[in-house]
Amino acid sequence: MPDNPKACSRCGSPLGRDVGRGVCAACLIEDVLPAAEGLAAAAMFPSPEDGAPLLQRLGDYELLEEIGRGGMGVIYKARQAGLDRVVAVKLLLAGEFADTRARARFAREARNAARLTHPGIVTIHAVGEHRGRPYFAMEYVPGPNLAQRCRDGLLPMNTAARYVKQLARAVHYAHQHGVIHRDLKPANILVTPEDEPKLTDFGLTKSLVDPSRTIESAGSPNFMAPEQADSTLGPTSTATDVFGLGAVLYFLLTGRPPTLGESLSEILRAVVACEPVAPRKLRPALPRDLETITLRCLEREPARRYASALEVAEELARWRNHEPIRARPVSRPELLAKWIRRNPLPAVLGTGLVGVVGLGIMAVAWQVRRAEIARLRAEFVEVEAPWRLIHAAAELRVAEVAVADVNRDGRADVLAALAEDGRVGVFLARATGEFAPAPGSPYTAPEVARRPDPDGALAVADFDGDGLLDVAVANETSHSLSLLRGDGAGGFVPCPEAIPVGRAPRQILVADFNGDRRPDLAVALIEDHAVSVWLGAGAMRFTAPEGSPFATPAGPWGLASADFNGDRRADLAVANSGAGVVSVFLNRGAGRFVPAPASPWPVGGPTRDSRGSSPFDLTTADVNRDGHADLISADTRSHTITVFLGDGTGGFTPHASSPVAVGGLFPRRVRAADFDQDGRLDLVTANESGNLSLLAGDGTGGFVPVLGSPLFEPGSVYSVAVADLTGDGAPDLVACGSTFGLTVTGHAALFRRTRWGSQPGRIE
Amino acid sequence: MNGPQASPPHQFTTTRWSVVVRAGGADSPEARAALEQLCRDYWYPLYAYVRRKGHGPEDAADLTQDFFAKLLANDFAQGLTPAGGRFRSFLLTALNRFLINQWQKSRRQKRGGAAFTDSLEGLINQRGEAGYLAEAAHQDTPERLFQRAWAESLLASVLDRLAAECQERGDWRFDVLRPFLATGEEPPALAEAAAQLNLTLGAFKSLLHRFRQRYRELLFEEVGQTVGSAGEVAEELRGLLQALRAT
Repeated sequence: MPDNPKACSRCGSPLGRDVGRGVCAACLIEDVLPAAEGLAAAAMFPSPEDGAPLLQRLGDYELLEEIGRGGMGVIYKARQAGLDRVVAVKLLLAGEFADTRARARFAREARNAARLTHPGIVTIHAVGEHRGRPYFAMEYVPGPNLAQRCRDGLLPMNTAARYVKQLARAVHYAHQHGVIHRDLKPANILVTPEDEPKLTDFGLTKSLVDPSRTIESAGSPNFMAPEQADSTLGPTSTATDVFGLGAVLYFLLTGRPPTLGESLSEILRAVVACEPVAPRKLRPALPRDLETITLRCLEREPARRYASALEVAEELARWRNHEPIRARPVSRPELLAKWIRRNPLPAVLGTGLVGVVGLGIMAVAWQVRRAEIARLRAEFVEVEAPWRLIHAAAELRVAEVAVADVNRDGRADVLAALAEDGRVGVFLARATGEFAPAPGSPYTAPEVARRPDPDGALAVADFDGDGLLDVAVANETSHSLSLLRGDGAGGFVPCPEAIPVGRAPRQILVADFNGDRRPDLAVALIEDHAVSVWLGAGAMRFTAPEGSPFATPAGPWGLASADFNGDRRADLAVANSGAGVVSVFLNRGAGRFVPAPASPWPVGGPTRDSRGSSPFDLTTADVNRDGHADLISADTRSHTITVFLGDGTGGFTPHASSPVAVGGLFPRRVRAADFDQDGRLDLVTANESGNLSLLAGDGTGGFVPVLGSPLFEPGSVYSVAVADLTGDGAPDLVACGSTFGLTVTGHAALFRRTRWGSQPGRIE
Repeated sequence: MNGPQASPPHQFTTTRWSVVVRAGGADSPEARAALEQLCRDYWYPLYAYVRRKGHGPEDAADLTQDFFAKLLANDFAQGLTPAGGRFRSFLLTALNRFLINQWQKSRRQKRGGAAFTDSLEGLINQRGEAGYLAEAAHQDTPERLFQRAWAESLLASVLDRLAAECQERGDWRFDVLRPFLATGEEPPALAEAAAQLNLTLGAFKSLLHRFRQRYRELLFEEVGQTVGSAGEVAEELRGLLQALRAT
């Protein structure tokens, strides 16, 4: 027995429910992981070393030896009784899970496949079922598969082209008989002793998969066509096999599959979002025509690929005969356009343009789903890219982030409200561009120490008038605001007293509401459905003006401040997540607020979601450059941003709505800045789906999503701050969130627009 | 050699979660049943998470049930994709969003007497708080507690199934074998257990091998129910382990 009955006897971590008799769940999972990783099949079918084979017979077939196993099942060399011929029998694992309909589909497709007789296709002799597990008997081909054949080095180009040419003819033959393979890959291609390629697994393994599934993959996703990884791109078809032929050719010519990734989800994302690296980059000696043929097969749009497998065969035949091929190479602008959606890490690192630090999570990849976005993409020819890690602290979850030069060295520092306990982490910028925690960081305010707050908010300003920046922290749990006095060197001293502000403060905004040049505070109280205003009195003291807190529509979450009616006073705009509106309150002086005449305005615009809106945040900026402050709200229910144009008198008109970039869901923070330095404001949203989205502004109030970056996975991005961290005059980003618990900055020019189409703007 | 070489299994088959995802939520009876079963298996980690977030036992029970009611009313399912959408991460995200919307708490209404949420209510009231008090390591962050409770719920239901299978066969050796599920037990302990079953060490080891194998099969199957496809089992286990090991 372990000394501590509540700790794992193996790793010492705390035990909850003792499911493993003293061994914790993590250790138990660790035990089984190799088996799960290695092969689910290995667990399902005892391998020969474990003792006698599980099966000796399958129907007519006497199983002689196991000759292979894979994700789909086990393959045996077998003798068929009566005919006395040697065959291969594949017993499918999928039968374990497949439902009746799937089995019927399997039987139907197997019958089709069994009708295929072609020298380039492994013949199916029979199909059967063993205890609910489908199996089929097929021609026995002893030879290695193409993946094994390439293990010792690349094939001669001529051989590779011949193989794929022959395969393309076989695939075309199958297409003519109504059978699509859908899983072309080197491991499914056997080479006979006569050095002829033969396709196996025709139409069989895939049929077990419900065609209505979004991801209809069996086999390796590295060879998958985009429409297989994302069914919204269209149905699978013969064009899917044309892609597969291209993928096999790519592999034979370069030694690697067209799509790489660390995990299944990463690969799937890359399949959809990224262009393969040009083969000649990997093998410079490759003739351009072979590259052209390969890339034409691998076009993302099925319609842009060769129209049939036969065309692929004919093109390869032309190349082998030294005739001109029909496909034209991809043009320079096309290549450039493709560059921006190219496969993330390896390619990006290879260019030497970008320094990517840390984990693979910063790979910038983005998805295309709609024609409009595809069109816009084509107009982006340059992306100075991605993300630079400024501080990785994997142990941290960060709820909120702020940027300010707290140690007065001319460099912007980063402050973070740490989730879980509401402490404040301070990361000081160094001359090298790196960030390091301040000596006393993280700081804990007494109130926060008593009642840790999982979702703290913070604001930075000089609250005591000593010229040094201080910090205010909202503590949702204790309904209070704590203050930390800055020493001007990056250190902070918590003030003993907390300010009771009201129930569930969630966002703090700093502004000068009474014109005394001292920072005042507005605090959104999500449980009181109110905003509480605090006027700074110097010396870290605050007084509540008359009328504070004032009521707002339900669920005030986001706050923004600007002079909305031209009276030179700071007014307030509130995103009301509960009521689905944006409300505006005009400052009547001395911090007294009254609702603007037409306030509130419903959020959403033409959303496709009937369940209404839930704006979590808003920001204010003059997006249409008319001299009046406008509002932009971020809606977590419809995953959109909505622009309200200000008329300079406190009135707003809903102008446009746009989804945040594809792949971005649940935006909970929106900020505006001119990221591409074209004089027009752009937007960034922090999405709970775990990424940031960038939307390019057209200068008239329209925004189009241009990038959705799967930045932090798994996890949510909680907040993003915009500031110039690099000192180059261009805005950078600092993002924070769950799981990854780090802050990240974007490189200066995140994206650069070169030209717009004639109709820039809205996607509605 | 015929067929593919050993490669990670990526085949996609019907799992409970895939049924839900395909239906885009709990709209079809089939999907609803699948979702209910998943909720029945995994309510505890959610309860523990809500508790650890600072809610009292009653509030936590209410919130958990409300959350499930919302879930079954298909309030969260939009925007799910099977590619990134495993049940575990989905639930945590959905729950966080639910908790964030705390302003709703004040005007929360009692759910209509849906049989399922009622049955869940019984379970939560009966076992939730007792489990939380007995099991929660209070230094844990809510997320870590959630992940651990999740893993433990998963393993417990696998063990339940294994025990039930043994019982069905009239095989009473489950209790003797169970302590050896985790690998790496000392040989003396093995010999002792073998003697207890009147088996040679070799025979005991091979029995244990089969026992562990069946346990793994059930575990993979169980995990398979919470991901989009059987092929994602290893990835999910890896993710879970990573979450558990993160400090």
